[in-house]
Amino acid sequence: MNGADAWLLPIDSATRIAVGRLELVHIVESPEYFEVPKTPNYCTRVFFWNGRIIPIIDVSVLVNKSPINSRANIVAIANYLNERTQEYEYGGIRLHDTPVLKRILNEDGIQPSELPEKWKRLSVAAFKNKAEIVPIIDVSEIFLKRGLSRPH
Amino acid sequence: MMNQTAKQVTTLDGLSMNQLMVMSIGQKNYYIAQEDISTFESIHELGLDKEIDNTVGYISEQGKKIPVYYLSPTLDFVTDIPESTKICVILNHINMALMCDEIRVMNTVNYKIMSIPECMYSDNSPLDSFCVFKNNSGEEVLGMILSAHSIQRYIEQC
Repeated sequence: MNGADAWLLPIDSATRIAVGRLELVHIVESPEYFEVPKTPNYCTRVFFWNGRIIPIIDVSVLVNKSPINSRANIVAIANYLNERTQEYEYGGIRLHDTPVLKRILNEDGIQPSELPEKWKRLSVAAFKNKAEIVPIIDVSEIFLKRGLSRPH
Repeated sequence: MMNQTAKQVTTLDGLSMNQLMVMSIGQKNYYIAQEDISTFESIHELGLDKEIDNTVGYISEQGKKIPVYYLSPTLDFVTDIPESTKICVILNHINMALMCDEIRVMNTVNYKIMSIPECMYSDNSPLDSFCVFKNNSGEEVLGMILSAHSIQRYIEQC
């Protein structure tokens, strides 16, 4: 019955992704955005938080090619280790709704190979939540890898 | 012709770089180091031959033809210049020039330079970095910095 806590992050009305409990550091409602031209379509905005520039990734655009269709203006701030600089950095994930903390049991885990193809390169693991398959996102991969929207 | 002398300043985080200039394009401001600018010319000096793709014309400088580009407020190439655009900024280090509505020295040296996050990086962009400063109301503002080399890379890419 061993397991770990994870945050379930709704990225659209039908899809949730997960990050580890300690990877989500803050939730911001209605941040004041700055649009940055000539950026990948899944990451076109930034906002200020604690003296830092936080890029906001719309994972729904990254995997489904369609933006979040929601009035909610919620951003989850996640942290990740930049192995090159050995420093922790922060990035924002745009949400459709507020996140939920959930205990994930070991027996709920599934192999990443069982995930739909579009999730495989963004995920470190996955689990079943009743009928739903939830990818656990590799946070450093989405914030540190250039050109993720290009087909591999 | 107005010659510019680069002025060395120290920014808030201790980095030393040249004074930034503000280039207005439509309602948008972009920032560029003074050191990246050679001279300015008026639109009246613009030759209208468009021998090179995406240019709006050329400026003759010491017997050389310098291709001139106009980037829209969203940094797309446009080959028709709006009426408000009257200044041609000739860039240092590269044989290229950009049109803008207005150019002036940034009214503060208290800014931080920050890199563009990796996830926002695009080969198809002239952005070099960000600058963060406070406006007259004390609010933090994000500025987008272009450089001669990032503009050259963008133009050659397109």
